[in-house]
Amino acid sequence: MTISPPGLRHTLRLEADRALLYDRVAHQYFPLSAGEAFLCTAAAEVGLDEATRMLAEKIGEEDAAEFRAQLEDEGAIDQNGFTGRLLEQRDIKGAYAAPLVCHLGVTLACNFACNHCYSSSGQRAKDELTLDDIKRLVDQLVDIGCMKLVLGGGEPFLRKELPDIVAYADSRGVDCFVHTNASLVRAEVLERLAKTPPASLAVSLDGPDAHTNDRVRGPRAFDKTMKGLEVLRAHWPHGFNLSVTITPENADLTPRLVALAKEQGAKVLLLRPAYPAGEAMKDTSLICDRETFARAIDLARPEAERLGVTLDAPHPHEQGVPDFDGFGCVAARVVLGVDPRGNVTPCLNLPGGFDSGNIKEKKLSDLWKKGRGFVLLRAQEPGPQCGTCKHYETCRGGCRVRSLYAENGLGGPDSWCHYEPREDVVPLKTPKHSPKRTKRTGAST
Amino acid sequence: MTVRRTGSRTPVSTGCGASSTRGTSKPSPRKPVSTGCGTPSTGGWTPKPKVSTRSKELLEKAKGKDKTEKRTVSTGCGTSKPSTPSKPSKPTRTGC
Repeated sequence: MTISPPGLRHTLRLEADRALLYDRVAHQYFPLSAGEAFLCTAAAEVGLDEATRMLAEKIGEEDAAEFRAQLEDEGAIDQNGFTGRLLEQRDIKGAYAAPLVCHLGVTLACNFACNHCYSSSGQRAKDELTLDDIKRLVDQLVDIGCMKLVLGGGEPFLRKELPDIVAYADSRGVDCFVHTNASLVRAEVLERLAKTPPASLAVSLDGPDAHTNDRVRGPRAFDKTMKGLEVLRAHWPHGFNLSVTITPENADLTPRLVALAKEQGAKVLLLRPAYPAGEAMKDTSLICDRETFARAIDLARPEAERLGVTLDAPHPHEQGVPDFDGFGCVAARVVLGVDPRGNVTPCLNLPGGFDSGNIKEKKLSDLWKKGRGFVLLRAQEPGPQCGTCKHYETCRGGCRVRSLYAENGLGGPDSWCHYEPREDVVPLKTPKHSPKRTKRTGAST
Repeated sequence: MTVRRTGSRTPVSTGCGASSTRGTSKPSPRKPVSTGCGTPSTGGWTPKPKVSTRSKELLEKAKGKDKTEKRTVSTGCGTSKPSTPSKPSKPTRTGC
């Protein structure tokens, strides 16, 4: 991979008690140990050899040398010190100092009308962010060290400046991840986009045939997407993922979706559940519960293994307690969302009451620190169930969108949660949404 | 010094060995000024390098490899999964 511009492969974010290294080759943040972070900061001050010697005095020569070798191997340090950009950040209680990922809706315009669309897209809004607005947003992301930008919509390819947005973000060191229905991809626009290709292109598809897919995504949606995939195979050498929103209607069809992913040449097949948000609130039969999602993955896995398809599907039985540094739900703690008009929210799936301000008027860093919705989510206190559950310190109740949908409130459990009372408390007699199956380890297939 | 996990990579050089600059610098024609009996001489001595307060803090917290396992940071529901596979040694956690 060519890193553009040179020198921006790594960004090191230093908070008081943690250090995160973003690597544009892996498109990932990596937590660094204090020893590794020391090498990154001290090498520029006293030279790499001296910094290594100092670290060796503290933790031993072997470990110090290993830390150094790993960082050198990754290209993060050389004799002159840290090779990337180093940011010192102030801690925020219950959240990273700045978001790790920004979800941006680039337009509300969409040529599809999906029944589960979280943003209820269709018509372009008059006051959507301009290209300059988005560039300013990217500049702010760079300033705070948020290096992942997910571009959705609406349909991003209805925004003619999509290649310009990706190119600008890339020039500033921010990786873009584009979500599309692929129906509008054409050779010309792919040629423009290929000059600075996004880190990924994910194509949404919700059924292995027109009948299932179009029931959710609208008339002729399946055929349009299939034609788009054909164009991608011919004109897009960077590959694409297929992304399926699992609903009770397609959950049993995942083996056929795996076969379709193989046939279409997708790199990865992503399975994600339909959330209770946006249009899905009008047709709640589409909302996916925990056991339905688990079944979808259980059915997909043998076929994926047989056909050699890479499956990205977080199994709710195995995932158990999500490890988000004890943050629980990622909204307001790890990620934020910006809608096409510039309204900032902790999560684009949350209802409008969590909108915290507009980036046309306020600084993104201020909204992250002090925005109403962000403060509200971080101030969440556990209710009776979560307060007696042994997992609360890590899961913090799970997804807040599902908790609100289940009318459990901000302090209540995610409707997917499995309640396991602590040994030092009297367990609740009637826990909410606690499935019988609670084993979280071991493969389900 | 042995370096674990680096496989066939060359171990990290910590000495003057191959990177020695001895013999490459041009000798000065000037004669150094004598400063007396030699006790305050700086012959070969340089001030101990200082690191910043931040670096000092990090050094104080530093622990050995076995106590600080490196891992990826989960960033949520997986919508930012890259097309290209990540480093195999660091599996991606993408689910929420």
